[in-house]
Amino acid sequence: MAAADTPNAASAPLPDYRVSRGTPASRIAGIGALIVLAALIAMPFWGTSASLRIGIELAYYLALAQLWNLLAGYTGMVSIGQQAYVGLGGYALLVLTVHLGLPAPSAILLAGLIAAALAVPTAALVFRLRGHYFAIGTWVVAEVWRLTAELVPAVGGGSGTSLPAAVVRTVAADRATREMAVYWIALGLCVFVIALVYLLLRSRHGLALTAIRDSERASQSLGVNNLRTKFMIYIVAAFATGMIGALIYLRKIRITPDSAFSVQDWTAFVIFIVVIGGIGTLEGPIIGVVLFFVLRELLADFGTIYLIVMGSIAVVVMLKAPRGVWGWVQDRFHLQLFPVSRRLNLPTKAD
Amino acid sequence: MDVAAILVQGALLGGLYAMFATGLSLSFGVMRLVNIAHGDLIVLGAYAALTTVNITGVHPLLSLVVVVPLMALFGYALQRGVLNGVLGGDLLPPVLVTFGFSIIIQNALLEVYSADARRLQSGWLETASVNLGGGLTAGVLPMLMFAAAVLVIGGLQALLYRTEMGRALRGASDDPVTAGTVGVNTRHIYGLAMAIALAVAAIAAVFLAMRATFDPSAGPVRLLFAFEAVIIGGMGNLWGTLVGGIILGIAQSIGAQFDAKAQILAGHLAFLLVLLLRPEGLFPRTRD
Amino acid sequence: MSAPPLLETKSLKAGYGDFPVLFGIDFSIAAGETVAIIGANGAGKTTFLRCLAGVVPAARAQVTFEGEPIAGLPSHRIAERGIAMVPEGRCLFRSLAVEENLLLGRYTRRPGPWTLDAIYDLFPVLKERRRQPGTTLSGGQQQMVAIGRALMANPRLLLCDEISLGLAPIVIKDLYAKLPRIRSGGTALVIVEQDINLALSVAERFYCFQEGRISLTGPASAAERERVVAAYLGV
Repeated sequence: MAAADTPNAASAPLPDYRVSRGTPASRIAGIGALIVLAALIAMPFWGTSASLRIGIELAYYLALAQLWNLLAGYTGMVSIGQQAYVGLGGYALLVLTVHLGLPAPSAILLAGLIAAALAVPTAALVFRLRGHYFAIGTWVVAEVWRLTAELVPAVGGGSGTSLPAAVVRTVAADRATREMAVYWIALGLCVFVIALVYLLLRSRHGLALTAIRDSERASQSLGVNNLRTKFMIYIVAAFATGMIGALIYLRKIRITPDSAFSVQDWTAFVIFIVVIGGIGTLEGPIIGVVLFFVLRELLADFGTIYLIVMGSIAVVVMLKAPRGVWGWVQDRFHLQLFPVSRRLNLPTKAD
Repeated sequence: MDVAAILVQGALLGGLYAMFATGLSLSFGVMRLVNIAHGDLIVLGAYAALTTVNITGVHPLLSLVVVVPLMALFGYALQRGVLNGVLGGDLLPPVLVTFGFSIIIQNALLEVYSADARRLQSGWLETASVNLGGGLTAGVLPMLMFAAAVLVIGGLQALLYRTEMGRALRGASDDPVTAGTVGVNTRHIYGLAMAIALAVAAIAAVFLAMRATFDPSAGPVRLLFAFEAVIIGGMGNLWGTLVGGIILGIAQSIGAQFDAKAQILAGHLAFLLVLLLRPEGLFPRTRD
Repeated sequence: MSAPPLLETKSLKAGYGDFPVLFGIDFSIAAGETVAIIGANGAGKTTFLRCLAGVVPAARAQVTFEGEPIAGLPSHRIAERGIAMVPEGRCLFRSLAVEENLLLGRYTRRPGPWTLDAIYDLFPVLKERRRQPGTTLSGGQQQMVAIGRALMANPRLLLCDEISLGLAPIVIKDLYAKLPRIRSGGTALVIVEQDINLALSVAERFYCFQEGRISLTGPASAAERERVVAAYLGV
């Protein structure tokens, strides 16, 4: 694609240009994704109960990973406190259903909104910290919520509590239907999150995000309102994470402060997924979540060794291949399946 | 509720927190590295002290002779071997690598020592107390802890501001490239900085082990205390960190009056309050 | 030159990542000599000095100092061997006071005539401000600190990158008036300047850089001036 001759500014008109996004690979991937999605939606009819359970877990881990990636990989906000919103979502579900009598499915949506609302004052506080200190600050906030939950007897205090059967039945009357319903909600949330992140990146906000990540000062000088963009992304992420938290506890039924606000389950594993798969890409978390589950299956019997291995892989990847598996693929094959970047096409002389 | 006793108790506890914080502050000040595994390294030090005491049978305080050099060496190796590779502008690699180390250390300790809570017996030190006058008493161990904190910070200040190595450390943190042209081997200097940071952490670890029970998962909470002491006191100021630690200790002491579980929460809330009202901390030393 | 050069480069190529800046520089300087490097912005003068100081990597054999190949060595090793730099923009250590900046200059502990007292003798105004943070000094005084810091290393070769940058003419004049004293210690000087006359007034030889190559070199005598201007402008 040869660039057109530099036109004489005074006389010639601007060359005809097009901004294109799709590539042949992304078009194929798009069709492939639709097929896979159709199969996944239909899974309750052809899959086993065990595969549904794995599907639910895969779905919510993938969603959490895409959200963490949005924050850290795209906007440059490295948070190690997202477990706050998972826990808040779970406890919000508890309160909304048990104490306010709402049916579980709509409580999930509301739990997300509550998480988003609580993210506002949180952001006001933690945004006062920069970089590494921001990361630890988010962790402190998560701990505050965890300790608060431990002190409130109405939600079970330190030993936690369970969702009563009546609440669980608001999803569906019998067990099999409930499993299907929870599965579809999980799948729906995952697709929603991926779609959300994808659309955000395609929009002009997406350009702003990459600009902020690459250079805050430069993007600011170009008129990008850094603070407002980051704030918006943070709240949106909290909203989605809250809903996922509510879903997780609808699935698990039992909630305790330690599990709801667990750094390991909701941050360490998520970070591992994003880092191994490829940070800063939409395709990365998908690969990462598959690798994570495979690794977990392989090392399931080894308890702490499994975590040591996971931590070591994350460290080695970060040192040797910081862009993860997908980053390697991108470098080798120049592939991009989600068409989020823009290419400027100028007419060649032959046109 | 004896107000004076609460204040004294909290203030002395602050000495321990200041020691937790000093290592973190040093590595951030010199290398712009926030070590998320810092708390876990303190716990590692505590276990090293435990093993030393078990093998040799000496008093915990004497284990410092072994643990401090050991941890210093480990810090140097860690910095030169791994962490020097993640320094530089990018934020993610140091956070993720040290986070990974945090997980590795915690689980390695769990594997080797099991999840049982441990404590180092310090004999008469544990219960001895001193009459401060006016009906106030203070434990000897907490006072020793506080004295150690003052000595450590004082020593570090002297190192940073009166010695050539200190100048090199500060110069390298300002401008590593120019420091190189003046003859400073920045890779080595960073290694030394981490060695000092972990040496201080080792001292704090031994006191921690004597004062309270610890287990492999006790690290993250210590990291948060260290971090909070630094932020409350103001970044870039070691004496400020001591004040930050004291305020944190007092806040926790007050919280403990209401509910044992509220102790840590009270500390976090105090931190958030300072973040809200005076985000730069109480005694910040302006750098950039 | 009958004696072997103090420093010599052969076909030096260097750049930043994928961005090449120097395309084959042949340069030499004898012990105690003063050589000027002139050229427009972007010609590669600063990159060249940074290469010599070890800040920018180049292939090992392309630079020899006192007969030994030094390119590719880390900058602190090169400093130990006796090459000191006064960087473009001064680059004082912000957290350090004036005296502390100077003291850090003798980190390599190289022996020689330049002690703290000798520096204060050269630049008396610094002695009055020794405890002040470097950043509170005027541009000219900061430049003195930068030069003093480099001299404290008792270098055999001093690289001066645009020491006149941003300074008033009278300040520049005072600064350049000190150069003879620096030379009298036997130190070889590389003076990089954009001001041709200034550079040629103190140098014995000069090199003109243009777009990463040497476009002209020779003794700094008056007769060369027209050719120099032509080479500088690339006409």
